[in-house]
Amino acid sequence: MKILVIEDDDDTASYVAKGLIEQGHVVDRAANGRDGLFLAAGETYDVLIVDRMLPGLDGLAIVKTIRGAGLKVPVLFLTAVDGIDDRVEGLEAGGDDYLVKPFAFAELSARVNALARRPAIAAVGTVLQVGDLQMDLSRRTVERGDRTIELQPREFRLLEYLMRHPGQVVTRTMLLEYVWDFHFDPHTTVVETHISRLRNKLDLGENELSLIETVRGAGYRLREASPLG
Amino acid sequence: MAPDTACVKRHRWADLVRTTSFRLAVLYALLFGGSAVVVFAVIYWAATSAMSDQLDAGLDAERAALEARYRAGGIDALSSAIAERLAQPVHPLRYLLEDASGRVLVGDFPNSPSLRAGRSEIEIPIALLSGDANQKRRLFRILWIALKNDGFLLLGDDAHPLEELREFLIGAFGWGAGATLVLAVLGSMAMSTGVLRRVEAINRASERIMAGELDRRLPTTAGDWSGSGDEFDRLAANLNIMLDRIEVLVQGLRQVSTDIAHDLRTPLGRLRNTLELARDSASADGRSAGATAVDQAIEEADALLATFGALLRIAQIEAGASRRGFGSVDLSAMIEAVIEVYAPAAEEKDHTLTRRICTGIIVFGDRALLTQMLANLVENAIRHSPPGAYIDVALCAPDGIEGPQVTISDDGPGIPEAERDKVFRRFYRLDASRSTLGNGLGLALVAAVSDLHGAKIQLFDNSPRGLRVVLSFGETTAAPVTTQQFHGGAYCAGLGGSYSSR
Repeated sequence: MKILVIEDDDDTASYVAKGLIEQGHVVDRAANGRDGLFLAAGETYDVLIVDRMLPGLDGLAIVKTIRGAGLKVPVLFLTAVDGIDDRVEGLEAGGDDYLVKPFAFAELSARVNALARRPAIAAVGTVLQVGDLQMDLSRRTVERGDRTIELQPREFRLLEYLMRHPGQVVTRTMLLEYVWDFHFDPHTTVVETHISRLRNKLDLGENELSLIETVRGAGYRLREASPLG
Repeated sequence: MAPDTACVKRHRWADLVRTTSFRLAVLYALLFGGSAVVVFAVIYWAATSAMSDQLDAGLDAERAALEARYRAGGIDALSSAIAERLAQPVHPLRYLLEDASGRVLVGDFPNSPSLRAGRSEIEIPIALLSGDANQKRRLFRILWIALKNDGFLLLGDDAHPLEELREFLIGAFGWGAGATLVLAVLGSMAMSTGVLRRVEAINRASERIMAGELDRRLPTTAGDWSGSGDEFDRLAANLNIMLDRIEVLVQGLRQVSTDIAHDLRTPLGRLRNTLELARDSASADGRSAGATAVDQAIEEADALLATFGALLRIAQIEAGASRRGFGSVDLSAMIEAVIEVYAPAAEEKDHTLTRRICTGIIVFGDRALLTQMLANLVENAIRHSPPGAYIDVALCAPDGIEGPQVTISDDGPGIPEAERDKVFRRFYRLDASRSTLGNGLGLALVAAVSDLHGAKIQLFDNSPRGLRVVLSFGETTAAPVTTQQFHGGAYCAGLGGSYSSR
């Protein structure tokens, strides 16, 4: 993927760029708002990573401008302060996701990957299919092979989110935000317990690998190919 | 709507009566009324006594003339003198002459047992004077003179003009006093409402400022065409200057918070990232012992970052900056969702988590913050209760004017009464919970969020043991459209459901 990082803090910018390049992405960097807008408007990127506070032109203004020009490239905002209004403001300005500094690279990487694939996933109809797992969004049913799986509404949403990002790492924070609408970090292991219940319902037995894989230090990943194979 | 407006009007009226200007106006009205009564009494006395003196002078002159006739010719001469006067077509006075035996010798004035010696006033029915059936009475000024051995002579003068003057004076005073009172009441009401409107405007502005709109200022009329620069304007101007200073200070505080975020969180984040890289290379080299130590260090760094994050968040909420995100929030659905999230965690600790939720309760607030507050409270109950506890979450809108109430009760260790205020402080932790995870900021955040929403949070003993947290939303927090629902539409689902591992 081709990614533009607009960030004035050199340490953060090189940390992000280094990580993304290691993952095989092509990264362009801009250290101020004006250069950033110039690059974003002139080149085609898969994802923009934009710091909210920038010298020259701030992040909100950049995103408003490119949205005004009709560019639909996914935007991930970075911010230094976990402002309660800031997140809403960023999303209203046309941002697609929001990450508070300091962040773990795994979190950033997971969110960038989720953003980049979003349009393709949204185009899929009412049936999600990952391996032998099938979810009918209109009938609210889940089947694995020929076995019907009964899920609670929230478990259904959790699985739906995982199935919309097959093979991608999904972090605990992303699940909290998109499945439970929690914009804070609870102390108890709520995500872990919900995942373990879902696994119990989805998985076939002890001797196979779980369909939902734990990625150490990052989050969870739904296996694309059936672990039976 | 009708009872509401009536209520508002009664409230306004009570406000009006309470105002200083109204009380002053009433006092002034009483003072003016009192002085008017004194002035009236003086005028009344002077005018009527002047007229009585005039009547008395007429009577005295006649008395002198008749006395001369009496001295000259005794009672017969007096009698004929009176008869002469009565024979004339116009005679201003009335007479009555009786001899010692009580026989009326001559006269056109009726005898009456109430006659007294000397000067007096008496009301005589007109019927006795003219013989017609007139029911009215007429006032006379009379002079009663005892005659030596010969009964008495009575002279009476028609005092009708005196009566008219008195009536006129009393009437004039009555109208004058009525007009004065009406003017005083109207004037005081006009003054009070004028003053009240200014005070009310200042009150409203201060409420908004207290609610967090720190950039708002008190209204002054200085810029208007009618701007007077009066005491209220000077007061508002002074308070506005004070508010400017407070705003600067608050902004300074916020700046400090932001600085902390920048200056401490960023290097801490870098430290964490470096540790992550170290761990990755350590595990790549197969040195798992080192990797475990680094993992612990990363966890510590994450905990520190979380503490910073929570501190900044509380500071922001306390600064009241986030009312912008307020909207109508379905509290019932939100609590259901929070309970659903925590049900498995409760089950893992063998807790029984029950809920009693009234549906359709809407409050006005910030969705994200309210969720976090409720989650913190439920989480506290789960974490601080020993395994196998009963935890109950209830949401109801009690009857009466109060807003909705959230109650979270458990049968855990509870909080000693002396500590109940302190637990809402930052970094305060009960001795019993020092061993459990947590940064001591959870309840501080709960307090900040409930303050922001104008809600009241109270801690009680739960019988027989444990803690009961009651969160009461004020009525003002409710979105006006849905107020009706609290009393009419909401129903208690009773024991709506129970998550239990048993």
